[in-house]
Formats: sequence, C-alpha cells, structure tokens
Amino acid sequence: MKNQIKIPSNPSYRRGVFVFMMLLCGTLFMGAGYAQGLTISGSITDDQGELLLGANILEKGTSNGAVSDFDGNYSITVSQGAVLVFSYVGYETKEVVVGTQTTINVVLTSENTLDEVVLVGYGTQRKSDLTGAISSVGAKDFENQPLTRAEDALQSRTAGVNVSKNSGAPGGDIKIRIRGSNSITGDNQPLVVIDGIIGGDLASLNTNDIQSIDVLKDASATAIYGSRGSNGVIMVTTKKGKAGVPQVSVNYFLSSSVVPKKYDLLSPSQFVDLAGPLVEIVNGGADYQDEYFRTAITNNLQLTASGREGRVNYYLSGNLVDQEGIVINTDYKRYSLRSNLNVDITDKFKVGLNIYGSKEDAHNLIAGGSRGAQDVRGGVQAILGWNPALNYINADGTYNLQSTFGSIMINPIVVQKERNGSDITNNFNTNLNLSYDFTDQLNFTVLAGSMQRVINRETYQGYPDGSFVAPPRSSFSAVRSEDYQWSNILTYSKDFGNTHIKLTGIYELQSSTIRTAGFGASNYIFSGIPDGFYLSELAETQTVNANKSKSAIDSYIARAEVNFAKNLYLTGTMRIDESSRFRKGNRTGYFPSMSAAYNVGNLFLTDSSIFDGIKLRAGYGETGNQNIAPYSTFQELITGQNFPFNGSALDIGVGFGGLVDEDLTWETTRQINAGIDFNVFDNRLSLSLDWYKKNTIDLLLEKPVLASNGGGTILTNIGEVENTGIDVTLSATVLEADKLTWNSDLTMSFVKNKVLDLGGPEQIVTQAPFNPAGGSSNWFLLKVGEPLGNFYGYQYLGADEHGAAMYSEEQSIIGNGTPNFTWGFNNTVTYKGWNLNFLFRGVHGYDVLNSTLGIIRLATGNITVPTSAEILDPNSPKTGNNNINSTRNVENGSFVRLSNLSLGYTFPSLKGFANSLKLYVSAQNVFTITDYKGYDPEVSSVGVSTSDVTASFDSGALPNPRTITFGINIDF
Amino acid sequence: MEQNKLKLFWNNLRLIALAAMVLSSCSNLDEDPAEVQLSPSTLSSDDALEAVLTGMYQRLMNGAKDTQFQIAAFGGDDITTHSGANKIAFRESDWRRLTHGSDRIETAYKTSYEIITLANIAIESQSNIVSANQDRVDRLIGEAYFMRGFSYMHLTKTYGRVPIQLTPNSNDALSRASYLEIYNQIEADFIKAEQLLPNVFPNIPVVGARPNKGTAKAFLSRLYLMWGGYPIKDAGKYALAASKAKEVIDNEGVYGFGLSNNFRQLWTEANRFNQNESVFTLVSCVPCGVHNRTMGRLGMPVEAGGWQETFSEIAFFEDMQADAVANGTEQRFNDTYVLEQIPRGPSFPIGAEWMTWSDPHPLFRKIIGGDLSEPGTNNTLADFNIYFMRYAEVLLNYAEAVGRSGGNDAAAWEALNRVRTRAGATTTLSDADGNLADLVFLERKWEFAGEFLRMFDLIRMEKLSEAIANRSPIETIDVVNHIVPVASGGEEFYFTPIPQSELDIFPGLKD
Repeated sequence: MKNQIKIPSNPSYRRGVFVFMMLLCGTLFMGAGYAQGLTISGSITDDQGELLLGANILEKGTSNGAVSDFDGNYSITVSQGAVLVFSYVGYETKEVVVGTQTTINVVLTSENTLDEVVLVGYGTQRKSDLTGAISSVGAKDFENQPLTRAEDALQSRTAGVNVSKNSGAPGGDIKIRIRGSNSITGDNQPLVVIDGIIGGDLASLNTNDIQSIDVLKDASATAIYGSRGSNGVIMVTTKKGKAGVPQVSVNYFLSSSVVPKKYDLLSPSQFVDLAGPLVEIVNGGADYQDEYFRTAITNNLQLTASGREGRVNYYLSGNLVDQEGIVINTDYKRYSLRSNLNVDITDKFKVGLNIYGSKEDAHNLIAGGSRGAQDVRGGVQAILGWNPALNYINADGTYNLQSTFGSIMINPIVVQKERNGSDITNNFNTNLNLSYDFTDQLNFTVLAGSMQRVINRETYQGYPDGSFVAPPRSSFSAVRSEDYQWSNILTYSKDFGNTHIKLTGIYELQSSTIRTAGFGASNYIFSGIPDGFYLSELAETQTVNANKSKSAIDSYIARAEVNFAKNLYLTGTMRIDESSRFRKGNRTGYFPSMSAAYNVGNLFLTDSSIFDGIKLRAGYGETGNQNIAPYSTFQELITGQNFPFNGSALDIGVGFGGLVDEDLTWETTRQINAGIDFNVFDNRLSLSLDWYKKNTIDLLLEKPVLASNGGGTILTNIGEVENTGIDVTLSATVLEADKLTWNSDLTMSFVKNKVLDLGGPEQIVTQAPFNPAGGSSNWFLLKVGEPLGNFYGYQYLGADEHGAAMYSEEQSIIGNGTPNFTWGFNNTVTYKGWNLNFLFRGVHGYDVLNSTLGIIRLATGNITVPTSAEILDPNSPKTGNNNINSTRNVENGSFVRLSNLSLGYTFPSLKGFANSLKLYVSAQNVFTITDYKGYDPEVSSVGVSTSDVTASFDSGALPNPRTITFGINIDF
Repeated sequence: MEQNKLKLFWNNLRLIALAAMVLSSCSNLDEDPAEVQLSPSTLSSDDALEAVLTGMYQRLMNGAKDTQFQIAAFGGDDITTHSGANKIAFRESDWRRLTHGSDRIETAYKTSYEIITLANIAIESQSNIVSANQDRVDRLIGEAYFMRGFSYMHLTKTYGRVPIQLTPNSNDALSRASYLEIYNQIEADFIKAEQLLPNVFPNIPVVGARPNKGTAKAFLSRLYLMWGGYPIKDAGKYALAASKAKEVIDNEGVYGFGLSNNFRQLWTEANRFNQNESVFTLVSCVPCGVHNRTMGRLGMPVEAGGWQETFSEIAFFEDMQADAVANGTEQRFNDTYVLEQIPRGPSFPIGAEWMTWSDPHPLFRKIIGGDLSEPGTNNTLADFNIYFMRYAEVLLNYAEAVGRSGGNDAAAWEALNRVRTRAGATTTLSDADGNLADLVFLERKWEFAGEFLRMFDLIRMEKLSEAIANRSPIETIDVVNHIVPVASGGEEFYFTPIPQSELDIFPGLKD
C-alpha cells in the first residue's frame, strides 16, 4: 500500500487537478525568487496510509506554495514562523505551524465524514445538503467488528434505530425498529432497499459487500417510499471496484461462543427432597443446561477481488459462513457469490449489473429462532423445568422420555438430539441499472430488479415434542417467492446562478408472487428409520397443503430539490401508490412530504469561530403501511378442519376463516421532524439533534371478535398511536496526535410511545403469543394514554403463613416491555498499526415478563414440581397459584452491554506477500450489567415483525451468546 | 458516417426508453382470491356442505378432547380433582368458586360458538345448494341444526344465560338472552333436526357417531327434562320429555339404539364400535392426530404416573358401594371404579387402597379405561369414544319424565328396570318400592357416575347444596389453596362465569 499512489480516477477531475497544479507550479516558480529562510520537506498521506500525489502546500497569507510529487513528497521554503496549509481535493485542509523542524509529515483525512454522499431513495444527496433525518453507516464504521449479519452493523451505530437480537439462534430473526413502533398489529419492521430494489433481505447479505447503509428515519425522507415507508427505510449500497491496481482481499475469522449465564436450578438430590419419595436419581441425574448448551464454533471466510479496467468497474466477492449454535444440534451455513459490474459504454450511457446468489442452510431453526422447540412448552422451558434427578439417557443407552415430576414434556434433550430439520434458502437477485444522460441536465435511468427466493423447510422429529409420546413425524414446505421491480427514473438538474434545482420523476411497477406447498407425514409403517424425512412415503398419515398469493403496486413519484446558494435547501416529494391488497376505492394512497434545511452558520460564523457550521432542518411527511396479507379483505372458509368420522381416516373439512373488513385501507403515519447539526473545533466534533413526532392513524388493528360472532380477530382500520422522540448523534475526534487517534461516536435515542385511540374501547386485552403453562394468556393490555407493550396481570403479594403465593384480586398494568432510551458508544483508538475498538450499548426503561423463570419457580400447568433453586429460599412460596402474569415475574430489563471489544494490528506491508495484513482478536457480548435474572434481557419469544404489543416476553427464548473471535484480513 | 449512425442509434434509444416508460402499463390490481381460497359463496354443493359439517366436528373435537370442555360438571358430587398444579380451575368448579378470570373456562364457550358459527353458515347456505340428492342435503342441514342445538344446550348447561347468534357475518355485540329464549331456540333447532335427519345416518362406524332422527328426539327429551326443572321450572315440559323419549324407545330398532350387554367395554378402545348404546358420541383416530385426552393417565394417581385430573369424590364412592351391595349392582360398581392393581409404575398401586395415596381419591374406570392393558389407558391420549348421550339416558329420561308429570305406567318402570338389570340388579322395581321420579333420579346418579352428567341433574332439581353438604369428612381439605367450597347461592352458584376475555370485548355480557 505504501508505494501505491492515489490517482483520482474521474477524467474531468483529473483535468481540473492538472490545471490547478500548473497554476500552482506557476506561482511556485514565480515565488521561488523571493524564497528566504527555512526549507521544509516531508510526505503527505491520507488516513489510510496512501501517498497523495498533487496535494497543495501553501504558506498561509502568501502565494508561496508547492505540490507533492509522485511519491507524495514535497519540499517548500518558507519564512520562520510560517503556517503551512495542506490541502487536497476531497480531504480536509490542515494547517501546521512551522517551528524549528525541517520535516513535516502530514496525514490528511478524507472529507467523507463531512460530505459523504447519502442515498435518499431514487437518488443521492450530499450529506451537507440533506433536509431530512438520515443516518449513515459506512463500511469503515464496522470494519473493526467481526460480523456475520448486516443487522449487527447497524446496532447502536445509528440514533433512532433500535436493533434487538431477539434470539441467540444462528440465522434467527432480528428485530429492527426505527423511531419506535407505529403499528399495533401491522408489521413494524423497516423496509429494506438494496441497490435500489425494494424488499431486500438483510439476513442473506454478505456483510463484506456492504459499502454503506443509509437509514431514512423521518417522513420527509421516507415518503418517497410511500405506502411502505412508515417503518423507516434501510438502504444498502453494495461495493463497487475502485480505480487503481486490482485489489484482492481475504478476510477470515474464527469465533467461539458460549451461553453467557446459567439459571440456578435444584440439584438432583435437592429435587428428590422436594418432590418426595416417588422420585429417585437415575443414572446420576443430569445438568440439563449443560446437556443443552455447548461451545459453538463459527468460521467466516470472505474473498473479494475488485478494480477498474478502462470502462469496466468490477467487484467480485464470495462468502462462507459456517456457524454453530450454542444449542446442541443447531447450526447455520451461508454461501454467497456476488458480481457487481459497471460499464461506461459511452460517456453518456452506463450499464450496471449486480448479481447476487446465496444459499443459507439453517439447521433446526424453529420459528425464526424465537424458541427452541416446535412446542412452546419445550426447548429452553422444558430444559429448565425437567426433572434433574432423571438423566435423559440410561446406562444402556435407552432414553428416559417422560417424568411426572417437573416438566411433563418429552425429554427436551432427546427431542433436540433426535430432530433433523433444515431451512434451506436460495436467493438469486439480479439488478440491472441503465443510465443515459440526454444532456448534462437530463438523465434517464431504468432500474430493473428481480429477486428469486426459494425456501425448503424439511423437518424430521424422531421424538416429537409434546406432553405425550408420539410417533416420529416429518414435514416439508416449499416457499417460492418472486419479486420484480421496474423503475423508470427521469432526473433533471440545473444551476440557475446560485440556485440549483433538481427534479425527479419516477414511474414504478412492482409485483410479488409467493407460492407455497408442503406436506406432513406421520405414523411410519415400521420403526427404526433413523431419519425418516426422505422416507415420508412410508408414513400412513399424510397431509398436503398449497397456497399462493400475489400482490402488486403501481407508483407515481415526483421530487423537487432546490438549493439556494448552499444556504437554503428545500425538498418536496409526492408518491402515489396503488396497491392490490385493498379493494377499488381504497387502494390509492397519496404520500406527500416537504422539508427544508438552512445553514444558519453562514449568516454569522466567522473563520475564527469554534463553530464550523450550524444547520437547521425541518420536515413533514406522510407515509403508509400496506403490509397486510393479500386477500385480507375477502372472507374465506379455511381448510385443514378435518375429522375422522369412520375412526380411521380423516374426512376433509372446512372452517370459518374469521370476519373481514372489506373497506380496509392504508395505515397512515404523519411525521414532523426538526433537527439541528453542529460542527465544532475544525469539524472534530459534530452533533446532530433531531426531534420528531409521529402519529399513525387508521391503524391496521386486529380487533378481538366475540366468540358468539365467530371469535378470533378482525383486521380493521381503527385507532391512533403516537411516537415522540429525540435522536442524538455525537461524533468526536477525541485525540488526534501524530500517531494516536481516538474517534468516538455516541448515539442516543429517546422515544415515547402512546396509544391515543383504540376506535372506541378504552382498552383491549391482548393475548401473549402463547401461555407456556397452558390456559388463558391475556397478559398484555393496550390502553388509551399508555404505551404499547403493557403487561397486564396481578400484584404479587408474597407468601402467606402457609407458604401459598398471594396475589391482588384485580388485574392491572404491571410493567411495560418497550424501551424508551437506547444508546450506543463506539470508540476506535488507533496507534501506529494498532487498532482498538469498543462498543458499549445500553437499553433502558423497559421490563421483561420473565415467564422462563416464572414457570419453574412454582408448580404450574406443565411443570408439576418447581426446579428453580429459589424454592429453597424460606421466603419463597411453596404452593398456591403460579400466575405467570404477576409482578413476581416482571423484571427491569434495562442493561448496559460491552457489545464489541476488539484489538487488531495491521502490518503495513509484507513484501512479496501482501500489501497489508491485519490480525485481530475480538469479543462480543463481553459483559452485561443488568438486574435481569434470566439469560439475556434482550431476547424475546415473539416474532420480530409484529411483536410490539407483546414485547419483551421471555418464555424460553434463546440467549445471545458470548463470543470470542480471532481474525485475519489480508489485502494483496 | 459512423458519427451519424451512432447519433441515429442514440436517438432511437431515447425513443425506446420513452416507449419503455409508456408501454410498461399498469398492473392488474384486482385480487382474485378464488384462485387460492374458498369463499363462503362457494358453498353451493352438497359436497361443500358436507365439508362444513366435517369442520364442525373438528371444532367440537378440538374442544371436547380436553376435560375442560366439561368443566362445569366438576360441580357435581361424583367428580373431583387434584388440589394443586394446573388443576386449580377444576377444583374451583368442584367447589363452585370459579371467577370470570379462572383458567380453562373458555374452552366450552369458544368451542360451542365455533360450531354455532359454522352451523349458521351452513343453514344460511341451504337455499344456494344445488344437488340431485335432496336426501343428503336434508340430512346435512338437519345435522347442522342438531349441532347448533347441541352447542346452545352445552352453553346454557355450562354458563346459564348466553347470547344467541343466528346470523353469519355479524359483528354485533349481543347481550345474554333469557333462559326461555335460549330453551326455545334449542327446541326449534332440535325440532328442525328431527324433521330433516334420517332414521339411520349412513356411512358411520357406530350408531350415534352422527345424529339420526332418534338422536334429535333424545336430545329434545333431555331439553324438556331440563325445562321442567331449574331455572325455568315449567313442569308442563315433563310430558313432552316423556313423549319424545318414548318415541325413541318405541323405535329403538329403527334408530339402532340399545343397551350394551357389557357396560365396561363401552370405555375400551377395542369395543368402541362394538356397541349400540351411543345416541351421540365423538369418535377418535389417534394416528390421524384426533384423540380423546380426557381419559387414561388423566384419571390415574401420581403413584401410577397419572395426571390426577379427574377423580371420584369419596362420599359418592362409598354411597354407590353401599347401594350396589343393597341392590346387587356390584357389577356396575366394579365397572365404574378401578379397585384392582394398576400395572403402572412408579408404585403399581392397588385401586382399592386409594386412601393411602398422596391424593387419596377413588378412581373412575370410565376415566381410566375399561381395559387397563390398552394403549389408551397407558397414555394421555386415546381412541376411547367421548359419549355425549347413551341410550340408558333416554330410558331414564322417559321414566323420570313420566314420574315427574304424574304418570306411573308400566313402560316407565320397565325402562328403569332395563337399566338396573343391565347393572346386575337382582330384583326389579315397581311403584311398591317408592316414588318413580325419585328412584329414577337416584338410578341416574349411579348409572352416569363420572360421565359429566350428574351436575346437571343436581342443578335442574336444585339439589346441589344438598350434594355439597354430603361431602365425606375425609375428603381432601384444600391445604394448598386454603379455600373451602361455596355451599349455596343463586345463578352464580349453578353456572360458570362468562370468560373474562369476552367481557374484555363487551362488558355488557356481565349483565
């Protein structure tokens, strides 16, 4: 790298530099005659260590200057006490006072942090020109953290974006909320746009391919995505080749993960004492946590080759992730290949083709990782509640499947060992980008994207989980989804004196088709088949299913951006969406937005001010949520309601599919945003503050239906939810010495969520997704004036004189599962080749309903004898009702976590081998400061997309592991 | 020249690009759900109607497979439960302490209305159905009426007053109807069923697996018997009860009903189809995933690896034993209780030694199973039939209704004696032995012990307080929850509260 010379690639840019150099050279020659005093020399490099050729050196206040040569070296003669100004296009200007030294080596930092280009949807803006609230994370921001998932890159690095790893299962779903939760029963996951194609999947991405992630947060930014923008938009740009010699790099890391904590359970003999004389220790008993969890190894290999040859710019990459889960018999593999090609066919006509193919294989992943077993009472819940005196295996190798003491479930170790399930996902995404400049002002771009995804889910359960011994069974489902997008983008951009105008018009068509089919098979005609999935034909009971859904959206979009003398910026957008999911008359939505930014600093700041810039931003916009299942407005008789009239085979039956609302339409979010950006101390400190208020009306709400009207729920548009909050981003160069730099980023998000209206009733009692004890699970409450995610239940009053648990008569709100303050503090310290990164994050102001502990601390439905060591505490109740939804099980979930700690060393150059080599060691989830008694306060047993009403419900959720990683990155 | 060609090319490209914008016309945004889902409007054939009926049974089984479908019956003096763990709701019912928030009280409510919802759809569709086989359409519509009447009967037996919904696709918040409105509705549905159902329901493995005309009449007799007692107490209905039961008895051969000569075998998997006593029953198919989860290990003590869900009350056991000795019905007593050794660990307990167990209660054979070696007895799911009415009830409905309406004819005594004789009684009863209605009422107590029926006899004759007062002094005191039974009261004493989840949606259901 050291010998590599950075030559700007853009020809016109190169021309400009050349002219500039000639002029400077001229002045240099002219000034040479006057030169007196000291001759200073040195080299100029960028912050990556690359030598900068053609950088300007100017003695301040004079016309005396020099230009660095092809080796990045310069020499200039100046007067004593002069100030040298070093500048280079695209880099921050730096001033150095000349003392007695004759050698001054200068490192210029790129202006990226100040003036990077940010994606705004169907176009880009310079960060300094932004009018909306957009956060960006670049590859540089997470290069010091080993990642297997793109979502990890976002976690705690962007204010207003809350990334919760709901599950420690490899390949599990990750919950992302941008500025709180809008929808009560609708989807709250943000929209993902990868290279302009809507509806991308972050989980299958190769993290090394990510150039940048831009998060559109306020409605003035997201309104351009109209009916799908209300949850915020995550825009991912993948890498392109850079000019210069071809670059080849190999990144590899090896991780080892363990469960971070264990529950304190009764020992076998303690359990025998408690359960009574009918229980005996069999085969020494077992520590079920030790049997279930293991040390898991992850291998991650990433290869890339990129560069630019003539008119062709290429980026090729491959990735292999082989990740074991911390639960036995679980793992995840991902293979991917990418080819990003960009060809300048002429100066006016450019073609880009990105192709990405991946295969993921999630082994024994259940319900997106939200639990460890098909049966909600199984997995972690059964592990903790199982009779510790009874080993899962006997000395002769036979299994102990059931116990009437402790959990009545089939032994969860046996279930886990004897299951074989694979979710195999193939993605093939292509993305064609045709761009033609009619004139310098007018560009027409066609973006055509196709996303093809096939998921095959195969499962075989040798010992199906449940409370009875059932014969082996298998199941299969195939999901094929096809998404197509065709965007026509016309852009007109022109300068009128000081005023710059950019107009964009878009016509876009999108369609999506999902086809599914599957089977279930059980009752094999003979036993002893070790893995019966591929012999499902031998099963006597066979069921089939098939389905298909289609949806389409047609959109018309317009945007105008005006910039008055780089002081005042105005943006206005309008999107009209027509969605097939709603019926005629309800299907067209209009989503306008307006925003402005003003560089107030330009009015009064002087060069000597500590402030380098102050910008005010404000915006308003409307976005929608149309994310309901196709055909939701049509009544249905559901299938699968079969009954065996003859006692030996099923007759086909149909059932009631629930009431529907034919007038269903968009959920609309109106958001107002005001922000201010400061840059202080030569841009060493920048502060961004945003305040917002979001009101979501016409909520897509699953309203409970009386049993007498058919029961279940009806999806309808009622109610209103409000989110108000403040996002703070503080970036600082804490230290910038010769070889030592320390950069810190602090992000903070405060969000206050409130239900304003439920369409009539003051409150709606909502069920938990399940009750691990069986029976009713009305444990959550939506209430006007209160935030989403209230726990609803009893006050726990301690044990009475007989040792029985006592509770209040009435139920009330006993906690809330939605955090209201999150922060991240990311630090990078570099000293010579050393690099230290540490990322702290905190989540505060929420409770967790710890059903995992609740169910094992007193006898409950499926756990007949408690297993928690708490029962030995004299103050702990021994008998009585075990109401899971009581204050006894509501715990403060707030935590502070050292999320990443890594130390790396980069060898500058290994001659004949590599340009650079970096070795690092890193740890994730190093420690957590929390009062939470469970494994992990971050996890939840609810799916990620619609979990906001029943948030922070830990019922056997799989904890996030503690991980140590060793890695090596080589650039050839 | 080359330049010009290129220019031409680019000009064309512009046209192509513009054309692309214009030509890529709008998508078809009208959904076509018929491609993938069944609309209720497709309910126009007898086959589709049959599928809806099948769905009703699926729903009924989904609820009735678990004991909690019969939670109200735990109030009877025959059945009790374990004191701890997850059996608390059964205990609360046993001791008449259920509240709106109690566990397990939703199942009977939701299941019944799920069937009613489908029945409403089926009944409304009848005018749309085009079929060459009108008999089949009548049979299925008749069955839909029967299922609706059956469900409202289960609702009112359990919850007393409930809303009556007869319209599909309504989201109106309906208030609870009066008892009279509910009984009238059940009567109307059963009468419709009686008209439309055939004498013999075709293609079923055992009589009563689906209702026939006789089933509808038999349920009418039960309804009228209930109508004569609490809460409406319209004594004029006893005569109707008698006449409907008599119509069944007089045609028992036509409908295929009879008394099984092996009482114990009614509750075996092997002989579930080898009997003709089921007036209405649900059949199971364990390999199909459809099973009865109210029996087998559910009724065993923990000493035999049981779940201790359904036990016999001690006083009831002792009284029945005394009565059996006096009347020679020991055979039925032995078929009703397990007294021998249970071949299951951990302790292989002997049934007669129940008083030595950790939860000392006698065991119902009707819960555990008639043959201790069958798979269903040793599991928590089984193929045992779930009986909603046995023919013995028709006989006793008749005899009691005759007695309560002032009659005393020989046919009524004969009906009573048929049941007693099958039970092993050595003598027959006549009016010299006492009041017909009282004798039948007592006979029902023993004949239906543990069959979730006794409670409703106690309610209609307002004998619940008396029965609770008769509890054995050694009956387990609830040391776990420190509560005692409620001994008397009004509506809330007799009926299960409307589930809280329903009150949460419509608080008006409290009234």
